[in-house]
Amino acid sequence: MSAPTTGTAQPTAGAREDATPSIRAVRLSKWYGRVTALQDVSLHLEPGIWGLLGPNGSGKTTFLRLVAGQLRPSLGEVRVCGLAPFGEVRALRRIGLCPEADAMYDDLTALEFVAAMAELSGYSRPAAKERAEAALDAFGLKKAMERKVGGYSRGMRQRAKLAQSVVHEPDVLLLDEPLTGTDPTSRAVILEQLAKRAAAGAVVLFSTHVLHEVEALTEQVLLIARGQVVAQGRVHEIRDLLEEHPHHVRVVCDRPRDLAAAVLGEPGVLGVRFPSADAVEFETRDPDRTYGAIAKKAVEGRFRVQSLTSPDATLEALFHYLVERSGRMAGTGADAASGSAAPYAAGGLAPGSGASPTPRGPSR
Amino acid sequence: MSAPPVPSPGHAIGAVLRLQLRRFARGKKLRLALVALALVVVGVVTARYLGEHPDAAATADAVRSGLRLGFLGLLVYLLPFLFASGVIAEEVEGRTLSFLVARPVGRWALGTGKYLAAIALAVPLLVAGMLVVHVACFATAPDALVSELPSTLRIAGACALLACCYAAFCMLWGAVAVEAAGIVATLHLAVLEFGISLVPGPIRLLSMNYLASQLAGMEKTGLFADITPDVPPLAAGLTLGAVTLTFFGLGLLAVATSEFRFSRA
Repeated sequence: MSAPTTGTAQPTAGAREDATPSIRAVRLSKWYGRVTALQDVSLHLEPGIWGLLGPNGSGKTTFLRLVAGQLRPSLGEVRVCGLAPFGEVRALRRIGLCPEADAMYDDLTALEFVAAMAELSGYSRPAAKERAEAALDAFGLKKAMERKVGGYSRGMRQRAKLAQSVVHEPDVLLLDEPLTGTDPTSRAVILEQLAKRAAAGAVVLFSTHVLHEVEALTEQVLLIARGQVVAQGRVHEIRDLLEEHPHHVRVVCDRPRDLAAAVLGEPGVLGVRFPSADAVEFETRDPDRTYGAIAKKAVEGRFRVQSLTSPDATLEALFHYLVERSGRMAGTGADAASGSAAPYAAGGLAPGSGASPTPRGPSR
Repeated sequence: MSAPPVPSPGHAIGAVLRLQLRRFARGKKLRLALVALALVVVGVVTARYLGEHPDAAATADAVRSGLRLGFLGLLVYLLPFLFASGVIAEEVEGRTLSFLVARPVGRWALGTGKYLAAIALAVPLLVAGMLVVHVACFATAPDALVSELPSTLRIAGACALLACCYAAFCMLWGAVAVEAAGIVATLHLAVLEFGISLVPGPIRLLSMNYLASQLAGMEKTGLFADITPDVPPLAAGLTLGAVTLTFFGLGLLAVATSEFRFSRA
């Protein structure tokens, strides 16, 4: 992997098609009116499986749509196999897209639908039908391919959508939340097929907001938040970040200041604040230990604890943490200016390190 | 990996056309169009046989009036609207356009294939309906069945050209005003086409329906019809063709350049 750091990469010149599958974004930005959906994203993805991880509304779908040629960049550029994809048929023929929306031609059978998509990719009618049958078979829909997709379950529809995305053996496969609504069986089939596409040399980029979905497929992740790539690295390093970044533990009780005084000296506790008259919030680097200390002190001091919660025990919190850490909080949102700081690079996947992707099989 | 070659324009348009026709065949619009067509045909034929026509000329006039009212005054609006106004807009509304624009057919071919699918249904239905009316209305007068055929075919030709024009209008509005495609297309057809085709004076020349009726060789009707300028058939046909191509081109431009609802945050 090589990932040009924001502000250092140069725009790709010309429109020469590359034989090697790749996705390259250079200072890519997209605005919807006054709302910034994507800001100053620069990256270069080579063959392998890539997880695009981010909370809802973070810009994942916008990025995929830009790569798929459905949107034009407001600023910067995006290249697929060396070509700008918007309206460029040479690029589009190498792209497979599985959109997030659960929308299909419900009056068509799965075979008709996928065969039509293959025809639109340039195959003759017999070849398209043959490919459609093979693709649907690969996703476990052989017996149901003559049924109308309107009667399919959510998981079957998802598999039919994935079948159309790979029916023309694309070099770049873009999947927007591909595992949404799938049962474990469907999930296993989908993961197996995606691993096969990657093994065949394709760039597989899939978005999700669920960390364990990424872990099932790949070690390589891009973290996107508020329209910016805030980190890229390996999944376990992201997990480590989750563990190491300061957590917050909020306790609602009868004497919050007394409880704060009792707990503040415990190892790992970094600070304390009082969000309301009946609550205390601890900042800690060791949440498990802090939870134990709070419980112990609450019993010893006979505090009447009403609730004990962690407002940030989610991936969302990690995104916010990384945004702050990379110094890019300012400049996002409706009045965004250009961001300039570098995304956080976890471990061996520092931007520009050239680390190679390591697609994993569907181990789960 | 083996990326397929970029489809030729013919292949691309053909693939889009086939997909759209298959969807029409499975959907409700074709059935609705057939019902409307059947009602109009039955109505015109019934009116012909219920009316008293002393001679063959009166019968021919009655049939022409029926064709004007039922086809040039009703179905030529309804069928293109049914088939063309949603070809783009419904794909956007139904969020299925992603599948099509991600394919290497090119957006020009996408728009062209969908437009051709719309007129491939609207025009044959109109022409076939008129021929059925012709045969049914002149079934008891074999001489008129033959002698009046050129007149009916001329009306059918004008109606077909007008249907192509209206389909272009509807597709354009479907592409540029996705959420209000039906309303905008209806307003265009109702006000600019039907309404203006009835007003007196040169302003009537703005209505393609009036030009089509001139092309069809029909007498002028409506308010102060006698002060409305006549249009030579050739000029009417050329104008209709030019307007059709202009709106079709604008529709294609909208399809080719728009981000549609992909641009929703």
